[in-house]
Order: sequence, then structure tokens, then C-alpha cells
Amino acid sequence: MTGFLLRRLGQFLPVLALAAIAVWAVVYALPGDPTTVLGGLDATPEQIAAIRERLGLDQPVHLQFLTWLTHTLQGDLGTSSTSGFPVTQILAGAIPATAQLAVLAMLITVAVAIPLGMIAALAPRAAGGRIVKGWLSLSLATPPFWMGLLLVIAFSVGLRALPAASRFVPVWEDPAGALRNMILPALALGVYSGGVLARFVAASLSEVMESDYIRTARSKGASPTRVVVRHAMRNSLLPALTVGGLQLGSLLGGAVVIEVLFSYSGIGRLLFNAVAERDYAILQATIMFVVVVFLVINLVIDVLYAVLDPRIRLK
Amino acid sequence: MHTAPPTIRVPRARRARHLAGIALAAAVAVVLTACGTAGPSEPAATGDPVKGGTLTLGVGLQLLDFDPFNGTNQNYIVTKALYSNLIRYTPDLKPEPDLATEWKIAEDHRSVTVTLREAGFADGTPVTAGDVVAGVARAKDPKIALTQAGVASFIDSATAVDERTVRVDFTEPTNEDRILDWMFYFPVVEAAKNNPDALKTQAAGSGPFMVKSYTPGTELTLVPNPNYYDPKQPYLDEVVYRFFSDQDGMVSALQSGDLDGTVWQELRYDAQLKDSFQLIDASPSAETMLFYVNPTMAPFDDVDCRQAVIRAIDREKVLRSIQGESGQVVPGPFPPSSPAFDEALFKKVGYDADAAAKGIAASCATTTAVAPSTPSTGVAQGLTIIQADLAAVGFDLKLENMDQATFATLLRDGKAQVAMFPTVNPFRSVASLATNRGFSGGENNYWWFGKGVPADYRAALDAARDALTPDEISSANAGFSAALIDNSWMTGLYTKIGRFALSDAVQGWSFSPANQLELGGVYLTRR
Repeated sequence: MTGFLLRRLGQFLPVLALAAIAVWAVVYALPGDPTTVLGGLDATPEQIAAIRERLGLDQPVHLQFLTWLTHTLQGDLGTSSTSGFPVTQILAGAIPATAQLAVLAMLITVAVAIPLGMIAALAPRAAGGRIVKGWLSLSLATPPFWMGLLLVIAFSVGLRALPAASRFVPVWEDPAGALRNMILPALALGVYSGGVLARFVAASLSEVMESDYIRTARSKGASPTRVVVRHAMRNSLLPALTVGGLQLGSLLGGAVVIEVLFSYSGIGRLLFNAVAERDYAILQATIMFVVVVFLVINLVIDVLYAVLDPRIRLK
Repeated sequence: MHTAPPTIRVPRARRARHLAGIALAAAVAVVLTACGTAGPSEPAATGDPVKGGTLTLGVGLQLLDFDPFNGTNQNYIVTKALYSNLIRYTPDLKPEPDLATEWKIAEDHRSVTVTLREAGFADGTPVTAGDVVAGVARAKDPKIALTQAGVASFIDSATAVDERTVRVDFTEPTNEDRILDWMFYFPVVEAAKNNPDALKTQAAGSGPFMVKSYTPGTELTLVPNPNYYDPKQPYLDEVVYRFFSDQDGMVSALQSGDLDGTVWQELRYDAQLKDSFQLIDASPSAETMLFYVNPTMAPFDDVDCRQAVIRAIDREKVLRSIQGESGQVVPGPFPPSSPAFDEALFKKVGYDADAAAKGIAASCATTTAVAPSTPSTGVAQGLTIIQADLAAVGFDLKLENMDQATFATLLRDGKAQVAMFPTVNPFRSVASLATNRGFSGGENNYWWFGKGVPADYRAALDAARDALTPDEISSANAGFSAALIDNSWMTGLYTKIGRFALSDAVQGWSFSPANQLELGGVYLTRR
């Protein structure tokens, strides 16, 4: 296990290096530059040159990249061209906000996906199974932003019960306040993700329930609950784990549309604003953060595979 | 000269609550509501200003910095609360003291002597003549002058006469209107902090409020400046700006009671807000929406073609579809309140489809062009209408979607063939329009790159700048306006409205002619 982890961590380095170059190239390929945002339409050529000099944009691109790389390796992610604040400080505010939202959304996802997926797989022809399948189709056809709008109209504008503009309230400081601010964006994300995950749980569980070893377990007199919980679920969760991991990665990488809709100050909204304002330092840092999140989650999924299925050996 | 005051639409009735809850989520909502804050207070009767309270405003832009010399839209929202300028303008552009209590223009029009009132910056440092001197020096440094460079271009230097008196010398005899416009625009910043680096993350002004806390992209909280010169103001205990990346989210937050008002929201929300909020047309003359064609690119390198294309635009249709009943159509860049506004110019550039069709057929070398369509308020909608107008006279205008930063770069590099975007209006001095690079008389004009502005335009601009007496000014203004129309690289469409939506509890509001909410006089009637 230790060797596996070390090898995988070693593989991170070339991936990160390639990602850094790709991120740099993509960011610089964006048309427009920060001087138009900072100087406005009426900035004179002298003022534009001064802004470029201040941001280091007057240097050759390869030098800018090397400077950025050197500083990044030293833990200095630069300064936001828009706000003037250090990028590390801005990220330090956004990451907990997004992580907290992602965790709640993931809890809702799992709370929706496991029971609904089981009902759809175990009682596909019963009324409950049909209703669940209908619900899953509906939830998959409802994009999160649309669900978010409906929730805002109902609970914020209509009932005035929950905020339409969600603040980040740390759950360890004020759990009720945190839940109050996050419940609508988390529901908007979780209902859709839950639908996706439930489909995988249902398909996987249906397939496993047809397996020989399940028939054997039944013939040995195991109760239906024991057959499902002890024997079937463990194997059927493997594909769902991959999908769930990727969903968690997407949520941690910033649910851009939902964070923008709810004006929630996480990674997604930070990224959205950085693109609009051509804030290169923020863009590079947030995209690299997302890359790292996905790498780590993939690693964790691989380890969990081995835990759930002893036949899988980590090599 | 007359500038219409802000207009207001009074709520007709409280809007019924929209939707019943969804059962499951309603249960969640009820539980969570119990954990939340108290509901909205009942509004008190309006009357004398009430001290106290927190005003929360939603803004659909992100603040760039606290530098008032960077007069971009983003910063404009808050600079009026944090900084005092030398003078204010009334809605009809009469000067009133702000930090300057007196100003005397020399008989030869080569200097103005300004007397400052006793006032203090937020950190307790007194406002002195040295702060004005430092500000003028910065406005003359092309690297850091930012948007002050243009408006202060006629100024040579400033000298402190004593602690609270400063003499500002000009490079040439300058008329009173131009001097007053500069004084209106000039923010007094604490001298030691008056540079872009220092003002990036902190303010250094003497306005009614000071910064309490700021989270970039999220929230800015202001509290009263204890050293503000008016002991009665401000009335509010706190002002919170919440920054939104999405107008839908901002308006929902207003409707849900999270906000007391919104700043510069899009007019498409009027219908859903009109019964519950005060909808205010702030400073109706602050901006004019214009349609530009690039005279250095075919087919617009022929002035007859430019004029023919302009005549194909039905301004009234564009205005009504974007702003409804708000605003007025204009033939050029000047609003009706401007001394350079001339309704007779509609005869030259007004909608005439037959004349446009004949002109295009006779003078346009090609009949296609590309216009960048941006997310800015009204632009995509306006260009679509203009596209249809031009198609009706045989001209194919293609629209290319792009974001604001891409468009700005294209424009600044002189590569935009057609464009629609607003310009900030000059106030008393018509020639101040040329501080906008699209109207500059120099090589910086981004519509005339490599070609230079027409000689008659440059001459008219110089005349407007040089005019000193009322007769000279009136004649020069007319000449300047005519030169703009004759050269036709742009045409006016309509006066652009800056829309504010405020809850009934927000009273005492007023706006500067530059579209800024004067927060010092604002108070809340709810307890």
C-alpha cells in the first residue's frame, strides 16, 4: 500500500507539470487582457504600458511562466490583478466555502442516491420502483441552475424563508447559520447529482442481484436484507464510487453556475469572475487547485476500491 | 441648461407572495427559518431623517480598488461615499461647495484659487492644500493619472498658498465650464497615500463613510467617517455592498429581503419589481448610448456611406425596446440637458429608410459589416434591432458574440468595425467629451487609428476648448456638435438610464449628475 501511494504521488509531478503548462497556455490564449479591465476603454498607451509593466506582462511569455513557476513552488501564487490581494489569501477564503458546500451537496447526493437506487433495483416493477424511476428521469432532466432558480423563487422570493444570496458561514462557528445559507445551493446540486448516482447504484445493484453468489447466499437461507446489505451492496458500490468520486471532484472544483447564481463566494464564482476580469493569477491558481483535487480524488477512489473489494490489489 | 432630476415610480401595491412551498423543502425552510434572523421590520412613517441602521445594497460589478483616480464603472459605485471632491453639481449643473468653499478664477482665465473647508480624512489627518497639490501632480503623471489625465489636461501645476488655499495654474486660458468640470471630478486624496499601489486595497478619503471591512468579490462594509465635515451626516450606521456576478441572483436577493436596494440593475427587471420597490432613474443625463462605425475600414471609410447607414436606424424603436418609457432619443453624443444638444440635427441623421437605402446603394463599397455583441445592458438587444433596420435597406450587419474584455481589447486596438456602447457625458464643458478616446482630437482616437481625426473636427474641438466668453462658447459648442454629425463615425441613440431599485424604507436619496448615489443623506425609516 505504501509503495503504491508513493508511486502514485510520484506520478502527480509530471501530470502537474503538464497541467501547469496547459493552464498557462489556455489562460494566455484568452482574447483580451487585464489592462482593458484595469485601465478602462479610455486608458492611454502610456497607462496601458504602465499597467502591463506592473503586472509583469511586458516580459516575454516564457519568462513570465518561469517567474510564476518559481514563485508557485515557493508557495507564492502571486497577487490578484483585480483586487490587489494575495492569491493565497483569496483562495484561503474560497476553498473552505466550496468544500463546505461540496460536503453538504454530497451528503444530499448520497442520501438521495442510495435509497432511490436500491428501490429502483430491487422493486423495478412495483409502484414504488416506477415512481422512483420517474423521479430519477425528472431529476436528470432538471439542470442544477434551473433547480436553483425554482428553489430561490419558492423559498427566497416567495416565502422569504431562506437567503437568495448565500454567505459563507463556517459550520464550526454557526451550524444553523451555515445550513441556512447553504441548503438551497446544496439542494440544487445534490438533487441532480443524486439522480445521476442513483442510476448507477440501480444499474449496478440490478446486475449484482442476478449473480451466482447472490443465488448461493439466498439458497443458504440468508435473509433478503442480509443478502442485499452484506453481499450485494458492497460489490454494486464499486462503479457508483467512481461516479461519486468524480461528482465530488466537480463540486470541490467549484460549482460555477450555482455559486454564481447564489452569489456564494467559493472557487466556482472566483473562477467565473477571474475569467471575466482576465485575472491571470487567480485563474492559474484556481485551475491548478481543481487539477490537484481531481488527482487526489482519483487516488482515494483507487484505495477505496481495494478496501471494498479484497480481490483488487494495489500494485 | 437643464438637467432633469431623477424620476421615481411609486409602488402601486405590495406584491402578493409568489409561490406556495414544495412540501419537503417547505418543512426544511420552516425549521431553518426558526434558526435565522428576525423578519423585516414594518416601515415607519417617513419624515425627518432618522439616525442609525444598516443599508445593504447589491451591485452587479466587482470593485477594482479604492483609487478614485481610476474612474471606471466598477469603482464609481463606491468612490462617492469614500471621497469628497472639490465641488458638487446640482441636478441642473450649478456648482455647490464640497471640500472647496470658495473658488476664484483669475481674470486672465489662467488660474483658479480654491479655498478648502476644515475637514479630515478617515484616519484623522486634516485635509490641506498639500493634498490637492499632490493630486494635481499625480493627474499630470501619465503613468498613474488614470482617468484624471483627460479632465486635468489643461492644468499645468498647483501651488499651496497656505494650509487651506491652493492655486491651480493652467497651460492656457480656460473657460469656467471646463474648470468647474475638473473641480467636480477631482477627488481629494490624502497626499501620502495618493498612488495606485497604496489605494489598491485601502481608501484614503474624506467622504461621509470609511471602509470597515472588505472581502474582494464578496462584500464591502462602510461605517461613518468620524472626521466628515458635515456633523449631521451620514445618517446610516453602516452601508454594506454585496457584489454579484449575476443580475438574476442580485434581483432575487432584493426580492427576498436580503438587500435594501440594487445599483445599476438591468431594466428588464422593472416589471417584476415595480409594485414593490422604488424604481429610480438616477441621473438621466449621465450617459448616452452610441452607435459607432469605423471610418478607417471599408465600407465606412466613405463618409456618405456612414451617413446613409446611420439614417437606417430607428432610434425610437431601439430606445423603447430596451428602456421602455425611460430616456430620450438623441442625434449625437449630447443629452438634451447639454448646451451642445441640437434637436435640429435629427434632420440630418434621423430615421429615413428610403434615404438610407439610396445612400447605401450609391456610396457603400460593400454592404456587410461585423459588430461585436457584448453582454452589456441593452447592447445585444439594440444591435439586433439595428441589424433588422439595416437588413431592410440592404445592408448585412453580422453580430459576433464576445465578452466585455475581448471587446474592449478589439476596440482599443482600433479593430472594431462597428460597435454599440455608452459614453459618459461631459457636464458643463462640451469639449470634455474629448477626454473619451473615441472623441479624442489626437492620435489616441481609437476610431481613427493611422488616419488621424478629420481636420474640421480637430478645429471645432480646439475652438470649443479655447472659447472663453458665453457667445464664443455657444458658437463653438454648435460648431463642435455639427462637426461630429458631419463626420458621422458615430451617432447618438438614446440617453441611458442608471436604474436603482430601493425598498420603501430607504429615504433621503439623491444622485450626483454622474449617476452616483449620495449616501450621506440616505436614511432608513424602518426601526
